[in-house]
Amino acid sequence: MRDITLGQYINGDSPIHRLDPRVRLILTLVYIIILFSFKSILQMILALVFILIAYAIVKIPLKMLLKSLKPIIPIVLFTSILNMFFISGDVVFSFWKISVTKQGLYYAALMSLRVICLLAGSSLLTYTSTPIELTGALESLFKPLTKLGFPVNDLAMMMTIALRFIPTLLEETDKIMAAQKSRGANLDTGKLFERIKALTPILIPLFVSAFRRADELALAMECRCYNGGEGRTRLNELRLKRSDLKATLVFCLFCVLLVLAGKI
Amino acid sequence: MSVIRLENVGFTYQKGMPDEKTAVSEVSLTFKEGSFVGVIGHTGSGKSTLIQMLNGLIKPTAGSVFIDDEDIWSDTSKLRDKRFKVGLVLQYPEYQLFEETVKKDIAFGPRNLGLSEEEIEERIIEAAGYLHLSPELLERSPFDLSGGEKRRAAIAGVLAMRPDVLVLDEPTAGLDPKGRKDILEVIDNYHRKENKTIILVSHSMDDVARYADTVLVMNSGKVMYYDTVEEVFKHSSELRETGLNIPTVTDILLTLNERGIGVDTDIYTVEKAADTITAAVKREVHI
Amino acid sequence: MREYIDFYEEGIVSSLIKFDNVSFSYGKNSVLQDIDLSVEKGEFLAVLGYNGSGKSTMAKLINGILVPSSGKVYVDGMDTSDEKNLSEIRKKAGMVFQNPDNQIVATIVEEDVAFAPENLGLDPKEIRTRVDDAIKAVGLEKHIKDAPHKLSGGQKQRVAIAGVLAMRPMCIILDEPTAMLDPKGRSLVMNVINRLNRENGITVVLITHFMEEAVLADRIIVLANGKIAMEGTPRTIFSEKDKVTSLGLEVPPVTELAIKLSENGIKVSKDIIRPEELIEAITALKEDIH
Repeated sequence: MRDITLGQYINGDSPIHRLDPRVRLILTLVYIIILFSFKSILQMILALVFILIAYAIVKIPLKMLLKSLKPIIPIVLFTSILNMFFISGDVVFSFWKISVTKQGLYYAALMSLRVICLLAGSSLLTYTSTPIELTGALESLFKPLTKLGFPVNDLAMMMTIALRFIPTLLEETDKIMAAQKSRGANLDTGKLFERIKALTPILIPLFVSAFRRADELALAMECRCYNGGEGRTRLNELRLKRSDLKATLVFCLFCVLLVLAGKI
Repeated sequence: MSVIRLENVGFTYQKGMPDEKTAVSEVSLTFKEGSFVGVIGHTGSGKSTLIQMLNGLIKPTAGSVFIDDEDIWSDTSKLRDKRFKVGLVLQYPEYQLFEETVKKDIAFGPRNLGLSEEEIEERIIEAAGYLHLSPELLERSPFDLSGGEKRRAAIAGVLAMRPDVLVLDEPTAGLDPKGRKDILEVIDNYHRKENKTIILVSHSMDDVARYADTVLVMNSGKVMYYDTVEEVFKHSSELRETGLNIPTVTDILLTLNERGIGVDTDIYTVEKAADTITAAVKREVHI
Repeated sequence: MREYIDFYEEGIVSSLIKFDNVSFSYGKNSVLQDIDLSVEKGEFLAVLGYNGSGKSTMAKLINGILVPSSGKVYVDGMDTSDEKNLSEIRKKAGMVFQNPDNQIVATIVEEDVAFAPENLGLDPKEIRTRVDDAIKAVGLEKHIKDAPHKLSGGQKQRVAIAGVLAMRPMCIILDEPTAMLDPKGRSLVMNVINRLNRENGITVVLITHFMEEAVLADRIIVLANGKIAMEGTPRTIFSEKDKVTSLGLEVPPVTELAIKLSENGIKVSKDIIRPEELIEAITALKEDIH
């Protein structure tokens, strides 16, 4: 619980880890759009192959990918079955009142592949990017909006602080719960209303502490010359490298392949 | 009166995971009735984990914890009752305060015990007395108190449960010298009047030496020493080698000894240190 | 009437921090009264006093977080009550607080240390140099990419110090920086503070409850009831055991031992404040005899 990372960041030093997070983010988005705009099964298989190659580059074991796919298996099965049974067309085989059609099978396979690719693609992003990298990427990408008066810097700062304090507050919750349990607080049994009431001794100290921390943090930030986002520079400015361009080109190549595959 | 006994107790975080970490291992010891045990050790020596196992907050991953010869985990439905025998004051206990008034906050524990209102009132008065909380202060919001007062109010909340064993995890952390001394005096006074078992976790060997009769030294999750203060301080040079903060005077005596001055080194109070140095210096003069 | 600032500008006085007859109150509550104090460049000043004696308020007055109710505070000749000076004052006088958790902003050590220079709008290259220097100065090179919540208390507090150092301040004010640390963390942090003062010439104002730490200072002031109750070198302060105790403080155990020894008729000075001094004194006694 302590190591909250959106998804699950896997520390590594693969070429994909080294990409500019903005490139990672945009390519993932484009990949997802592609998944939804292409409709041939060959295209989906290519998309799956592509993402599997990416996993191989990052050296994430296939087992891990399968494990993360586990929770969506029921959804995949459910949609597949629906597609199989309710799409009319050339009947392959039928029993009782239900008939399975060729088109139905085709759509079932397409949908399943699409969902698997979708999950694999977005997981790859979170496996290879820390939340702070993603925050930085979003901040940089949305920077033009600053001119329209949109507080991009402030939002990024809030995001950073949230990420910084989630583990701290979780730890604090554990401590307060331990303290109240030691005083006989009964948190595990009772009716719903009683249980909610039993949370008061945890929630009040937690809020008090969060506000105290916020006060102290604001003070410390002020002491370190923070005056809002304006005029701030960054230690690690995001700059596109040669490898980022290469990755983008490889990705474009993949897109071209997909389009070609659609024409077969 | 209750006796806590640990048998081969161990605790491993994230057991079975790649990042598993053993916090405590193979701890077997008995906390004797009425003793005042000082627990010392580095951060990460397992002392905080150990004390949270004493009242069942943490379930050991190996071995058993007995309170009055009953394994506290043998019947989890009775765990809560057994927990009441051991009062645990965690670090920075003032962060647990939540009621509108100090009085209500102290009443939280006793109320959870299911006591009658008169009994609760009696407990509050008793606890407030030990911790020097005035009647006027009892009516105030705990959030309006000074740091030292908050700390005392929080300790009162545990004391009011009249536990047989009182465990305190660094109760003086972050206080000023007077605040530190006040808290320690309160604990000492409570121990002497009630003759209940006290287990005091502290970073200050000086404090442990001054108040405790028994010392438990934890090192890398294991018991390094568990004996009377006198016996443990016979190992003062080993303690220093482990990097523990031994009392300043003991440290001075050890260095003097290394320099060839014949002083006793199993000493931990200023008075006795002065005596042994005086004796040694006078001996040298007569030679 | 000519004020302190006039003398400063003429170069007659050169104190880095100057409290000129400063009082401060929260509403009706008077916290500090008529404080006069100068801290010289390169000095190491320890501020002692029981909780509520006004120490933290004093720290906050130095870098303009609070402004005196009456009187003036100057930092390097700049009046803290003048809004225009604040940014410059905060750059020159960095603050480190008690709870390291509540002053670390970012989720990676180097990003946190970079926070202040980023706020100052410095060039990324310059920020990198400052971050690397600051992290080196506190000895955390190995943790540059770590997440702060995985560090020990002492390490976190050193991150906080590095975060202030990255502003290249002339002075660091530390408000009980070791109060929440274990002995090991405490001594590591104190080593860093001491080195910054002795080797890098950074002025240090250290608020503390630990007498062993105050002993390292060039000068100690003791606050009580919002006033300066005692002022002097550690040696002169701790030789007045009764007065120190009456102000809610204690003398270092070694001083107590020295006092006892001299009462026992051993010829050691009563104003010994460091263990090494006592050991030397006693060893010397032995050598005199032989």
